[in-house]
Amino acid sequence: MMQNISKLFRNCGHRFLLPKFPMSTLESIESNPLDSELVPPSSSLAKSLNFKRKLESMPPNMEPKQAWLENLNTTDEEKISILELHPQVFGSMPRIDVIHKNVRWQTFYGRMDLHQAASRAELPGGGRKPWPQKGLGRARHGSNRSPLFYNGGKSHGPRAPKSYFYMLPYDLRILGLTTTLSVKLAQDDLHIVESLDIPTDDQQYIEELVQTRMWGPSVLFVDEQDVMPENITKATENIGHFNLMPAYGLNVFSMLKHDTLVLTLAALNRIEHQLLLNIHRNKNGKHQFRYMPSHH
Amino acid sequence: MSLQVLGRTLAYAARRSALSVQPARNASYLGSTVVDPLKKYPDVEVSRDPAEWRFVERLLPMKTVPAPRSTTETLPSGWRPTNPKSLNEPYFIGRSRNHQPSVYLKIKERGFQKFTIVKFITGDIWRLKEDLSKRIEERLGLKHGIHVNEMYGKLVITGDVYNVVMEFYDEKGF
Amino acid sequence: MAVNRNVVDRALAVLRTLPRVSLYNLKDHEHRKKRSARGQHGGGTHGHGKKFRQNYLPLGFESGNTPFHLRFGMEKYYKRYRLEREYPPVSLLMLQKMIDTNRLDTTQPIDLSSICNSGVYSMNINFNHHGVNLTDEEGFDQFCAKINIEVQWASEGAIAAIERNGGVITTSYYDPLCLHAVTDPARFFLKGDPIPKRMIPPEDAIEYYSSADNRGYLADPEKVSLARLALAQKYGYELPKIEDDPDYTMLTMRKDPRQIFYGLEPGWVVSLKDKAILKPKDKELLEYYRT
Repeated sequence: MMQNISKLFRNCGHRFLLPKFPMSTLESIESNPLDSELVPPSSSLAKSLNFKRKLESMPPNMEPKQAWLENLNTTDEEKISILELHPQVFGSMPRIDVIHKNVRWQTFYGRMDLHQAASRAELPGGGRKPWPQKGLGRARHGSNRSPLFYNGGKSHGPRAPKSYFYMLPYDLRILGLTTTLSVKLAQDDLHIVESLDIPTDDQQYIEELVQTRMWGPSVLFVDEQDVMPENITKATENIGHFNLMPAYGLNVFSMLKHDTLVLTLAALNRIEHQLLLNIHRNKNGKHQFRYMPSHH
Repeated sequence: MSLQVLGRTLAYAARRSALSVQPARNASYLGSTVVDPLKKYPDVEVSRDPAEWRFVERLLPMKTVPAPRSTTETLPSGWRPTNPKSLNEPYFIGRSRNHQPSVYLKIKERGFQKFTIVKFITGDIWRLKEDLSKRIEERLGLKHGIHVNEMYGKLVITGDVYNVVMEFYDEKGF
Repeated sequence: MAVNRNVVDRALAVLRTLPRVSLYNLKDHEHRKKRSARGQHGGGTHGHGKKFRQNYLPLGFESGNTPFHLRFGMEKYYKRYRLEREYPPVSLLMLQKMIDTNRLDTTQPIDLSSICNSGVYSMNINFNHHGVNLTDEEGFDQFCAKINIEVQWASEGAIAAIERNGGVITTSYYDPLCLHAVTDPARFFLKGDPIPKRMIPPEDAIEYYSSADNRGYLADPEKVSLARLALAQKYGYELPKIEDDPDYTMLTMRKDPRQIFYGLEPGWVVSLKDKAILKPKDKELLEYYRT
């Protein structure tokens, strides 16, 4: 599985996957990482936020994953705190085959082929016998639109509409999301910020920010709700490779298409909660029922 | 369903036969019958009594598997929570999604092929294989083949050694 | 996650040294090639060629030889199979396990709805399953919960085990239409149909549900209390006094023979979205649902 990635690797990229900070920094933290000393005094937001994340349904033998909480209000990154992430969501086995299945599913399930090659019945004419059966010394034919004829119908051509719709099993789709998030975190492509509030609506600001922090050329910003702060909406409007997405739109294809994934705290909470809900769901009720709207 | 769609059902109630078994016939919008003006339907009293609503909420299922009880004892059915001391072992056998021990007996080929499977193993799986092998030999006097799948954290032991493995499992307190 | 955590952490560490996982370097596992049906003339598409579509073979077709379902004539023994009711079992040990793992709430009466909602028991109405059969095969000695339970069939040992612990057991019948509501109440409420009234059991079941020995819901309550005493003497335990129990109200909660949900009457429409219950005022409807 690992060999496949290195074998099929085409785009070298312009940088190695180095950790953004030396690993020793984490080890050198002796005191409680949630102590106020870590929080830079300039960050007023930091004091009002609660960093201790409550991880739901933690199995006893698993340890949480860790990630930095960063800021967006300055071009240079400020590490505000260390956050604990649930290992079943952010530390699951990197199943590249499951990611492939999800990407294939996303690509194909909406695909509809509408091209159609006219058959002998659909072409104009072709009703009359072109020449008599016998006497001419020519081959016998009934229609000049038969597939044997030049400009005749295509016997087994593409027949519209052809759908490629299929549903990937529910659990595989959940696994795809958890695997992709784990891969993103492991490859240092996951960043968590307090919110998507930026000081200006200047496009250059966000471009400079991404450049300075060495985030990938393309960035996916994920917030909890679909109404985003004004500044970031205006700043990223004309940039095709910076995209804003609500948490409900999170999908494997988009996460892989964009090099870097930036989650807000609210989005992180929502995503983790929803995925854990489905990992630990109680299998009651009828099979089709889970697609019905929930009123409670 | 919202208030607007209530009426149709009451009018048809009396005619509904006990033997007509068609579940979820009108569960979708397209499959539902068209609602006539509400005047056609019998009068109705709307109640939002919380005491009554509690009986409705009682009927709605839990969405997630409930968390196990916070206890250290073995409960009457034989269910036992994970003992914290088991985390000190070089290996750990996790529980299934339903918080049950992950030791299974698989019987195939009309009863002739029996395997005991241990799943969700983390840590030094080879050490666990050795320990289990010794224990099985002690108890049963025979060596049983054990197949290790390190990737999935799974052990497959040929033969029905379920009770021996469970004894080991309970001793360690997983 | 059925994976060794060490292996997971190692795999994630290896990923740090590898190129970024993107849309262009994904690959699925190699799957075994499908082996088509063999035979020159009967293999593959069974004589229909590769380019034809939707030529589904008849169900049960066995590529020419007389199919299994036509080889044998009708047999008398399965003539009335649709009338044979089945009750998928729940042992006392299973019931105790469900209680121990918080799948069932013992502070409330337990009925078929709560057992189906637990997520551990499944039954299929299409297979003529009519409810829970409480057996005493396993768990007779281990069972020690005090509950008010309503099942569809119960063995004598199961009844004894429950009553020994100060609980109450009733056997009741749900007709197939009501079963759709009872086994999946959440789905039923979404339909917007009025709660149906329970029909009386069929001829071959009425005797069972009217008998006090089976704690039938149609039995005479006085005879039931006599039967409780008799069973206690038979199995050799002292029958606990329910009247002195603090959970007396919960333990004596019973459904009306026409009722399928506790606290909700037939004829009511439950609106989950509005969080309201709609009750009919019409006299005829009320009479229909209350008789």
